[in-house]
Amino acid sequence: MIQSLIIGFLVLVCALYWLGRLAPSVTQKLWKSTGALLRTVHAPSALQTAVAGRANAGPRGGCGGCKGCDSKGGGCH
Amino acid sequence: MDVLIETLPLRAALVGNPNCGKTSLFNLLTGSRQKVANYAGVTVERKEGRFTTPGGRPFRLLDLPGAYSLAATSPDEAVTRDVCAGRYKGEPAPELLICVLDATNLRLHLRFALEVCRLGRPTIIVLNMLDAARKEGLEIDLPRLSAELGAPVVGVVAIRKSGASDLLKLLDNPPLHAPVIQADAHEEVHATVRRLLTECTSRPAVASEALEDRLDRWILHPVWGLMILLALMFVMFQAVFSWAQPVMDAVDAGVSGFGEMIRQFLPDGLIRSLLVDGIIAGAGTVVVFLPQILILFLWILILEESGYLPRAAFLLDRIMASAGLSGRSFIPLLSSFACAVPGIMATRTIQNPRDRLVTILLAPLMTCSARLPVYALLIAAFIPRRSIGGMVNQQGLVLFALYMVAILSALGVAWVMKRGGAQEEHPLLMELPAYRWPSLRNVALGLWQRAVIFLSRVGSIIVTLSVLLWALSSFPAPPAGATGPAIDYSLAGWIGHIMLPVFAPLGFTWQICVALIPGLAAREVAVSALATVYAVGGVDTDAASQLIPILSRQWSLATGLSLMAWYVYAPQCFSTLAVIRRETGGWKVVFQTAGYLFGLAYLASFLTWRFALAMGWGPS
Repeated sequence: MIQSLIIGFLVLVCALYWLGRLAPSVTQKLWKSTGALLRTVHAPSALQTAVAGRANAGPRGGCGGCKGCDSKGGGCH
Repeated sequence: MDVLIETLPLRAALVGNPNCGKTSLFNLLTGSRQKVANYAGVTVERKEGRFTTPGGRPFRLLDLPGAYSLAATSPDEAVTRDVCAGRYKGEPAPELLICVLDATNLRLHLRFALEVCRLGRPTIIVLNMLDAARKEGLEIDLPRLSAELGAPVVGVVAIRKSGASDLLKLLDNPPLHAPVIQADAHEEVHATVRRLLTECTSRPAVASEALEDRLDRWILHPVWGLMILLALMFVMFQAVFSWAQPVMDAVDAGVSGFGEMIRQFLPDGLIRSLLVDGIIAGAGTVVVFLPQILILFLWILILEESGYLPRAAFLLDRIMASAGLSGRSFIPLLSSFACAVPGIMATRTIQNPRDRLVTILLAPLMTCSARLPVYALLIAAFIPRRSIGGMVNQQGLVLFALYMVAILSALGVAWVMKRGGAQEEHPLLMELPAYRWPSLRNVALGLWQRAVIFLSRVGSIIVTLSVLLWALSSFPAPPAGATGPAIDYSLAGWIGHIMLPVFAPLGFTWQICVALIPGLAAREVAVSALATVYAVGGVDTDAASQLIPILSRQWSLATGLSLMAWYVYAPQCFSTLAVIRRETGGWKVVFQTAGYLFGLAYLASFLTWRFALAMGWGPS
């Protein structure tokens, strides 16, 4: 049972990662809803801040190799 | 108030002709590691960094694309013009312009410096490569030049760690007023440059240019030059297979050992399966190809650093012109051998919109480094490791052929695309940089960056896709009493079998069909996907190290060749499509590119499969 939960969590994280890359607008909505839910249930503020950061992050760009071009929407140079 | 002003970062911008060393200076001042190379057009958009002078003054520094004039003729030059003029959206005008000049080529670079000085903004003139100029016997009277231009002039050697100390001292108290050029208002720019050269420089008559000229006589020769270029490429691909093998074997043994250790340490269950069959089999199989990628980039970096690449562009101009392309397409297409994303961005240096569009469409045809693991895997599985005539490595020869097929196909596609448009002549005007010994530091740094990029892709894209593919290959679990392999009952098996009718005419198996989908995210993922599919579905779970023998046992040579042909043209990854959309401002070109590449890949695979069957290389 614990193994299944760990696996389920890891698969969910990976699926979210790819959803974020392929459909950033969808994940942004998802993070915003999660942020609202966390505020409602008075979740720890660190968690709320982390989720708010994701909700407000701009789209990632580039080839995924590094973060050097994220702010420019892609391209190594 | 003064204290407040001095603590706010001063906005400065580096401007200058292409290949004068702006990015080297930017890296030196800000500690960044932006790409530099010994040819023009490496920087195509503004980059930002911060630094503080020894006196404590903070700076926000922009590195702008090189420009020959502020009357921009290409999109990258337009960025420089607009930033300097304060017209760039979201970017306030710089408070200080740092105009970088190549001290060995003042005749060309002073023209641009005069334009910058006339902008009416505080300016510092930086003479880069002062050491190289002195080596050529050129003496420059910096105080005199400073007086003539009405702006401070300092000398730097941007590739040396302490090469910008004079500039940093000057930046502690930067000029606050615009330069006042000491020239007759009616004096023409070329006349001013000639006068400045006469009055501020002295060069004793030397004959040291002879070596460079002698080299160029061979390297730029229409026949010998092409032979040298082909020989260099040939040796490069030979090296990829011959030199890398011992290191690859060591990495392979490490990955297998790690998988074995995990298998013994963890009890049988889902987590062990995920780690061994998913992550280690998937990511581990791709990591093995790192040495080959580094050897390929070692060659490219050495050629880049030495100043050879622009000469190759010059050599290929005639061939490219026959296909309707201009020599300006060479650097973007060359960049695409690393990754199509920077290649497509580098097309901003192309002035003609139609040439730029055709180059964007062609960039994905260049064999990016992500294809190398796929080729290396298939070549290792299907091409025997033996030498021809005791000298030529057969596997390296096949790799060379695959790269050449891609290049020739790109020329063919360019020819077809340009047939529809008006044939305009675009003469190639290119500055050939001086030959330089490659800097060991730059080459090592370039290789390090390539390794980091590759390993971060493995750690992010490949590991996450391996986990997802493992889940798709493991669930749902087979029903009670099932006799076939578990993967046959999984979602991945189901998807593979649904796709099979479309790809069966190419000789593909359902496992290949499964690998094609994540291969769209990044091509090298196809390798990890195959490893995961075979690890989950096979009896022998050590697919990380056994993938090559598994493939050569289970596939025919015809299937291997057909898949190689597919990957010569395979539709590009999502990142490339995204950057095409951004650079062209719409979806039309994205669909055109994906459509024609998919069509070409299908046709090439089909023809290869049928040819291989006719040759008797099909399944026995």
